[in-house]
This record gives sequence, structure tokens and C-alpha cells, in this order.
Amino acid sequence: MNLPKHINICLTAAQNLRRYKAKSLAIIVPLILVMATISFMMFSRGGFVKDAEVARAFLPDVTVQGIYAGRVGKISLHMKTEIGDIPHVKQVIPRVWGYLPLRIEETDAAFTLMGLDLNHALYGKKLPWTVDTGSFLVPGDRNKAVLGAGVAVSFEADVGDRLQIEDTLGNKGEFEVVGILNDIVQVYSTDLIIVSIEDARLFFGYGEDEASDLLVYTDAPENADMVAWEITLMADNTRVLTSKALTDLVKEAFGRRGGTFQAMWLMLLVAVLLLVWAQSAHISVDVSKEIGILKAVGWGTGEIIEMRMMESLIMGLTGASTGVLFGFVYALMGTPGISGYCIGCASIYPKFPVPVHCDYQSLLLLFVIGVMPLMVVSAVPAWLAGIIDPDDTIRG
Amino acid sequence: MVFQLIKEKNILRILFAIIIFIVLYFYNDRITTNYRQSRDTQMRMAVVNTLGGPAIPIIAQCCTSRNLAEGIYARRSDIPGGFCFHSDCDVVVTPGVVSEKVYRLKVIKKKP
Repeated sequence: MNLPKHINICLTAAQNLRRYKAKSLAIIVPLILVMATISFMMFSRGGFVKDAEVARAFLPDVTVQGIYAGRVGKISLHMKTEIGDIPHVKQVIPRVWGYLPLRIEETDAAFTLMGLDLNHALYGKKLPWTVDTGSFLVPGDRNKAVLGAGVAVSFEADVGDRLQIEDTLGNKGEFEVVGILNDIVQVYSTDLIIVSIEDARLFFGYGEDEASDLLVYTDAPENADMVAWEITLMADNTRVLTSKALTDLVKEAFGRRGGTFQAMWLMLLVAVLLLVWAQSAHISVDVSKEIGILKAVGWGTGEIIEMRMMESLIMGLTGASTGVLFGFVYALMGTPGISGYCIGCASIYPKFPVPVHCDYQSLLLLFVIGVMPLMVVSAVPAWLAGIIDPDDTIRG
Repeated sequence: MVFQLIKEKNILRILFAIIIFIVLYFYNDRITTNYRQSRDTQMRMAVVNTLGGPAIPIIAQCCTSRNLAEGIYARRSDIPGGFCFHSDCDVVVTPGVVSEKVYRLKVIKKKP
């Protein structure tokens, strides 16, 4: 392989791009835009997927819910004892939670009231870090609540204030706000009002032996499937979700499934490719003459084609690398300016910070889709340029 | 000759963009995604651990999927925090229905 020759061809291609700056920019700028669009979308989703993968180690191994008439209902605490007797089950924690349909100004909203068994809760070691003001609930707390930042902001609530909640039947609950969770954990907690399980039971009208679901922890994660099967065989009216199933749900929801943005991105990519085709297929008189001279001084058809392809490669790499960089920075900044347009179909961008992540596969995919179509589209024009007859073009 | 290639402006731009990206990638990994190093991730996981796995309160649903009123994409509504038709993720918006009455929440401010 004659490396110096190929390097020289590459240098010539780079110089050509510089000499025809306007033409090069006409291709590179839209390509940057296209790549930035797909990049910030992929990196934002990547953050959720990565978080879901990390979260799997912290989720209960099995979550058991009661099913009535095919829908999720209450679950009896008798199940708790039965599940606790299954080999390899370390702990079973009941949880009571429900939604609070509320109206904030003119907007109908749903917040989540979650009751934790404070005597048996698995307090994450870093939990104190998550509390912005005040403190988290401790065993024995009654009529106290910790709020997600979204709830605190929506109702301008602060530590020490009291929340009075009344449902449509007139049942009331009153809770003293003892803590507010910080911005970083909003992705899991923005709409939560966390209270003790007894308070939640009282507010939602659950009996003493009822819960919304049971969180089952096993002695080793590899026993989760076996325990899940045991529970399924034990009771017919249950839904048994393993931590893998919950992780897969998040991955499915935030993974590579497309939506408006992917459709939009595809249209942009096609537009750029058409532009590249149009620009490459049209060989100006000047360029024809240059190619003619190159051939006259000994350049072969293959070398001309290589030079033209090299031009496309440099443009593709410039567009892809700059676009990916811009997309990453834009995702880190929280997609300012267009976040509102991401709402709804398949992809939204919230106001609170969400994790951003890119994996190697995504990066490789971005470069492949940024460079390969460009190379393919410019292959035929490159060949057309390569077979130019030097005699004809130099004489005009 | 390779050095000459690297010195070429167009190539240099590509290398520059890739280097900046790598720097940002590792910065972001350290700050927001890598559990061992990122305080942010450790905090998020502490919440997941304590609450027993709340759903991410963000809709990521294709408009063509069925069962729009309940069961956000693959039954996410059955996980606390999963019932949500977010307007902009500061507020979780429920579908506009005529029949559903809303609860009332009042904040009684702490006396100074």
C-alpha cells in the first residue's frame, strides 16, 4: 500500500474543500444540523436507558400487585406472609400509593401520594444527600410528608408548612412538610408526596391488611426469577414484575423507538443527501478543467475517484463530529429553545435536569449514518468526474 | 507526511471536535452517569432504593400506541409516578375528561 500517495490525495481533497469553501459549507452546515438533531435526541434517551440499567441493582427483585377484573387493585397482606415463607426471600415490604388528581390554576394534574413502611424501608445510604431542605421521614413519623421538587414548586410549599388534601368524597389528610427533595432526583420524585404507610392507608381508605403492592427482596438477584415463579404459582390474581421487567419497560419506552423527531431527522438527512447529490453531480467548468489537468499530468481515474470520495469523507467526518459535539453540548444544556417541541410523541424534554449519556454503539452508529450515506451518494458523481476526458475538458 | 496531514485545517477541525467531545464525555460520565463516580447518580439511586422503584414521571409514548387514557405504554401507570400526561414535566397533566372530579390540596403556610 502506497501510504504517501493516499496521504497526498487526502491533502489535495482537503485543499479542494478549502478552495471551494461556499460549496463545502453548503453541505457541511446542514449535515451538522442533522447530526446535532439526532445526537441530542439519542443522548437524552441514552441517559434514561443508562439510568434504568444502573437502577436495576437498586430495585426490588420482584414487585407483586393484586389484579382484580384484569386491572391493578389492592393486595392482601396475607400474601406478604406467604411470600416471606418462599425460600430465598429476604424481605417483603408493603407499599401504599395512589394518585391525587388536582387542578393547578387551569391545568388538571396528577400527583402521587406514596406511603412507605418506615420501619422496614431500605433507606439508600446517600438519601440524606437528596434532601434539599429539611430531612427525610424517619421510623415513627406520622402526618409528615416529604415533597418532590415539582410538588413544592407547584404549591409554593416549604418545610414547616402543612398540606391539606381532600379527596372527592371529603376524606381529608393533613401533613406537615418536613423535607423537600432536590433537583437532581426530580427525574424520579418530582410529582411525589411521600408519607408513612399508615397515613397513606388512612387517606386512601385501605384496610389494615391491604397494600398497593409488595416489594420482594431476595438473598441474591439470580433467585428473582425463581421467586417470581413461586409467587405466580401461589396466587392467580397477582401481577408479578421482576426488576428486569421494570428495567425493560423503561428501556422500551425511552429506547430506540422513534417518534416525531426521528421522522423529522430522517427528512433532514434525505434533504442533505439530495443536496450532496446535486452539488456533486454538477461539475463546474473550473473543476472539469482541474481534473483534466490532473489526468494530463498522470493522475489515474482511480486516483480522481479516490480524491472525490476523500472530499466526501472529510465533509462527512467534519459534519458528523461537529454535529455530534453540538448535539452533546445541547443535550447537556437541556435543549434550550426547543424543549417545548419535544413534548408528546415518543420524546419529550422536561424542565428539570435529566441524565445525558452516550454509549459507544450510539457513537459508532452516529458516525456511520453521518458519513456512509454521504459516501454512497457521492460515489456515482465521483466516478463521473473520474472518467472525464482530459483532452476535451482542457480544450473546452 | 502524517504530521502534514494532521496540520491540514480540515483534518484538524475533525480532531479538535472529537477531542472536545471526549473531554465532555468523560466530564459528563463523572458528573451524571457513572454510579461509582457520580454523586448525582448515587442520589438518584438512593431515591430508587428507598422508594422501591418509582416510574420516571415522563411520558415517552408514541401517539399510535393504544390505551391512551390509562396505562402509559406497557402499564407504566401501574408503577407509582407512572400515571402522567406531562405538559412540560413540571406538572403531570391528566387527560381532560369531563367526569373526573379533582382533589383539593391547600398549603397552610408556617407561621413566622
